[in-house]
Amino acid sequence: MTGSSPARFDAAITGLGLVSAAGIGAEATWERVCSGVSTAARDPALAGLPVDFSCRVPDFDGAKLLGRAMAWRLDRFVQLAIVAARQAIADARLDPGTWDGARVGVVIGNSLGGTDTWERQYRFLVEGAPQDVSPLMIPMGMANMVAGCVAIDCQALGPSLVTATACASGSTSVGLARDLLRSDTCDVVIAGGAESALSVGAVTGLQRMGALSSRRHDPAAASRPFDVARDGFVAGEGAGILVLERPADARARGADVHALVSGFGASSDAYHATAPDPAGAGIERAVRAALRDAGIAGEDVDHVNAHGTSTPLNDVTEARALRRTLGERPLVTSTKGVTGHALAAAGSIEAGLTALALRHGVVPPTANLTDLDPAVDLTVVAGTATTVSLDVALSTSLGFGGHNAALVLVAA
Amino acid sequence: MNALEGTLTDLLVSRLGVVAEDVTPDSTYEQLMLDSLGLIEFLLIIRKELGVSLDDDALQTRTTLAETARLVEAKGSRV
Repeated sequence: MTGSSPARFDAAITGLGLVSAAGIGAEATWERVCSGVSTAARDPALAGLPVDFSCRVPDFDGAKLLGRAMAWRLDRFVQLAIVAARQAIADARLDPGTWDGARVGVVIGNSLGGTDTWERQYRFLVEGAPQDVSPLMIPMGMANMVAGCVAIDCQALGPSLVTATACASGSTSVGLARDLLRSDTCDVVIAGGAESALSVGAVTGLQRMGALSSRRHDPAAASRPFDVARDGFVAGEGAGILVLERPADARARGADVHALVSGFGASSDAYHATAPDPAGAGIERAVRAALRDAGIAGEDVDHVNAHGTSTPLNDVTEARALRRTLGERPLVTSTKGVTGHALAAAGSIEAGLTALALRHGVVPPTANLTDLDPAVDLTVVAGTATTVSLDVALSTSLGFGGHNAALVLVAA
Repeated sequence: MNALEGTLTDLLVSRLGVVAEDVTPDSTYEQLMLDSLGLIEFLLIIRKELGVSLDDDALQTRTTLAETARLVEAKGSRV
């Protein structure tokens, strides 16, 4: 591992909350991801659509987890975020009842807002009358409510921000959260992403773009990042929330640190609304910026949790950029083979999984990768998890709109 | 508590998460922790479940459950 650069700033991940199709809780998610068994399955809510399968969080009941009085006022994407935030804060052993809330910030990414709320209420309007529409439609549907409601729930009184960089939102949030610590704006930041856009309209929209796998006959094999037979991503949902603190503060209170966020890089393709720059120049700029920020050379990266969506375009573009910037040494995985693509939540779920990979010295396999695309000149882990000592890891995210984000994580 | 008050209580509990033990005929919505948006939602539920349309401003946070039952009854609920 390369030594710290003089300017390097580390943010300690002291708490982790993961809610995904792979499980409710960081441990459950990690175990399922390490099994390499995809969670994609037929989704009764999507019955009759051209793509009728998804990666939905199993058995998530907001009314049970949050109480009905709270749950009925919140769209599912906010419920997922609050559950994950509570997990993360408990994992950090922080107490919102006693912390200095003015020094606690919230930065959470979201992409599509409460699509289920918008679609359901719109149906009430067109099939009924204006008075059939819930007065909660707007507050349930607004994307920013994810940060607002987490702040209310944990009494975080500092900046409360939402990032909207599409599928890079969760990673962008972690990067901005680190900046809030570096600038001494906050002492604690609740950071991550949340998304639940498995409503019929949103899934139809993704399908009409050609973004989704159409493997209806075998949903469990549909999310297959870097595989030559991949044909699109599987829509997922979830929330990944990290508690970030300055390492000195974490040490002072005896907190357990999962890993350090040591570098962040962001860039824009400025190329096309939805297609990645085929040369991968945008994601390459983000990776190089993150490495520079961390003071770490590309050849010192041991592991990459790639964006790896399982779309034909993304995986080759990203692989070429990773090969140019890191060489062939790092063990690469895409955990989306198991979790599906949780859009704005993906980056922070994967940042959490990257921290756990560093902590456990385990690289999870890429589900369904049986025939590596010859254009992917990387060491991609498939089949079973690989146990190996890891010091430095990278997590990458790309979003519609040409947003790119990269995080460098270092073992604590 | 009469039958209509019981029906309204069931809706408050099952749909809006109000704690059943907290509800008496004299409970105000403020005491039941329902804000103005919650009250409009409750009116919507009353209309869909009981077929009774009340004006959007029919319920205030100081309105009691018993007063609500009388308003619903006056509009002709058969419950």
